[in-house]
Amino acid sequence: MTTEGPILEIHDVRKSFGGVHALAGCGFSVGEGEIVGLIGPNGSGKTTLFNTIVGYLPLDGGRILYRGEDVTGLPPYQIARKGIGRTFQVTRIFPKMTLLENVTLPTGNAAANERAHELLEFVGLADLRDEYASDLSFGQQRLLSIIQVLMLDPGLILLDEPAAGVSPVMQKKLLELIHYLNEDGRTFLIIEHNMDVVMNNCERVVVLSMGEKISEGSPDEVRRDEAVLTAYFGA
Amino acid sequence: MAMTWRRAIPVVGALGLIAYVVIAGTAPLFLSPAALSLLFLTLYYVCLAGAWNFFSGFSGYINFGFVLFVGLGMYGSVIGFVDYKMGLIPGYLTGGLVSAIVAAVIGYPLLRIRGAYFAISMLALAEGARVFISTKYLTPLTRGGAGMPVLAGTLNQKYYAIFLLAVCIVLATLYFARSYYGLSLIAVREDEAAASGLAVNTTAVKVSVFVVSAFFAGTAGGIQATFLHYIEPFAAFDIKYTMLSIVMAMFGGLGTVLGAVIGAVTLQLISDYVWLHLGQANITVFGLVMVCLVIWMPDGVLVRLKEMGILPKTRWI
Ligand SMILES: Nc1ncnc2c1ncn2[C@@H]1O[C@H](COP(=O)(O)OP(=O)(O)OP(=O)(O)O)[C@@H](O)[C@H]1O
Ligand SMILES: [Mg+2]
Repeated sequence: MTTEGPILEIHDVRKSFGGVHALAGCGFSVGEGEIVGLIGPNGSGKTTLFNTIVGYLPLDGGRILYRGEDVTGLPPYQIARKGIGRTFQVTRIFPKMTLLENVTLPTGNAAANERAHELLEFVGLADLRDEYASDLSFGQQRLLSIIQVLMLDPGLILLDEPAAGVSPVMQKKLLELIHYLNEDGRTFLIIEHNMDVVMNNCERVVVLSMGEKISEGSPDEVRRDEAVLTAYFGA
Repeated sequence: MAMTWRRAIPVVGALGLIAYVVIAGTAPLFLSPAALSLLFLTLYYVCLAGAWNFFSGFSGYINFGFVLFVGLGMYGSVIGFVDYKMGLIPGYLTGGLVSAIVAAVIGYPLLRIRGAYFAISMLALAEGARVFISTKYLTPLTRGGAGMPVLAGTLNQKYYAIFLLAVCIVLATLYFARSYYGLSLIAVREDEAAASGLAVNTTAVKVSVFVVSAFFAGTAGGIQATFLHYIEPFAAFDIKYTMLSIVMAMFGGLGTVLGAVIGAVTLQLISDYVWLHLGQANITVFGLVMVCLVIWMPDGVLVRLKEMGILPKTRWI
């Protein structure tokens, strides 16, 4: 499904926290319809990059384009409305809101109720729709946070370690959901530590180390790249 | 046995509420002025707790300077009555409007800062307003420390005004709680950053609801001012109004529709009883109620009942 121009372009983005250069001039793009893996050692800036894309953190430098439009510096709600959705490394749902309320929040209209029901049905949470989200298991909360993002009808979905800490069954379910949505035309940028997940599900991989892109290519190419091996295992 | 008991609670509660509304709505027909005045005070607190809850209960931004809006409303409407010879309803609404305008001005800068800072800033603003009201710049308008007497309306008129306002606030809360705005504000309370990532314009929601809350508080203040016949800075900006509003809203249920009613009615009853029997110990009893609350049901009766599954987890209760 890789066609057309890039859906996301990241140009030389920079972000420091005090003396820590979390993003030290990093750039790449994601094509419409791709599933791209974003990997790198702990602390390499992956989550920070997500936070800057969705407007949680102001950039120190660089530009971010979504479907050719400069979205740098826009507040998060506007970026969300343009069609970029993200999930968090540590799942963040609204605990004292029902599942249905959690899912309808992003749309702001009652007509979306039907879609919310469909999605809850789809991930097998429909029976719990009137219970508080705090009652859900960890894996269920993950699913909930993903369908929440889907209610934005996003073109681009950023997932921060979706498979971490969930059961193998739930992991399989999540990956099926991702591929199903991808066939439906949605683009994914996925941070993931589990190499099997990355190698088996991503068409292309971008590798960060110390806030810079050190490699990019197909899973096989990246796996053989000296720079990647050095970043992960030392010289 | 336990099952029937659980089912009885919502039914008894609903019947109690209906009975209360009917009695309160017709009270001037059969109550003595003294008894009516007590009921007036309870309804006044329903309004205050309801107005406080409207913003703080839903958003989690605890407003410790709430009396700012009550006091400004008092001054706004009393000046309207005394200097501009306004009618009863225009005068009350002027009070609400003054508070709403001030809330709109301070809301945008204040609501960008989180939690404790917001609470402290509001507290400081309320204190500041009390002082500012009596400075020479405003004395021509406010009569400074000398205060302003006001004569407007009969007891029955004032009673119906506060009753109507209480009903309006509860209905507005019902409408609001079920709307997208209400849900958004609850989401802000639960996780503000996550809400903004899900397309919620958090600033707009916070500021607009803050303004409505201030409008209700100001209108209630105006009615109370005519009930008291006299206002001066210390009485108008009495921190007691903030404290009671918070305790009552917390007791009944934060971010619920009926919590303010339950909190104000229950605590006002306790307070009247304790006042009668223990005099000044009144405030100590409130302190104890507060401590018990924080320990056993930090979000109030209704929230606890929802969590226990006795009431449905809907936003319309
Ligand atoms: N809000 C913050 N304040 C200060 N430092 C931060 C902040 N966020 C991230 N950092 C620092 O920036 C660097 C990059 O962090 P980031 O969370 O982006 O890494 P990551 O690639 O997501 O790592 P992980 O795989 O462990 O999740 C780290 O050194 C981190 O300590
Ligand atoms: Mg991370």
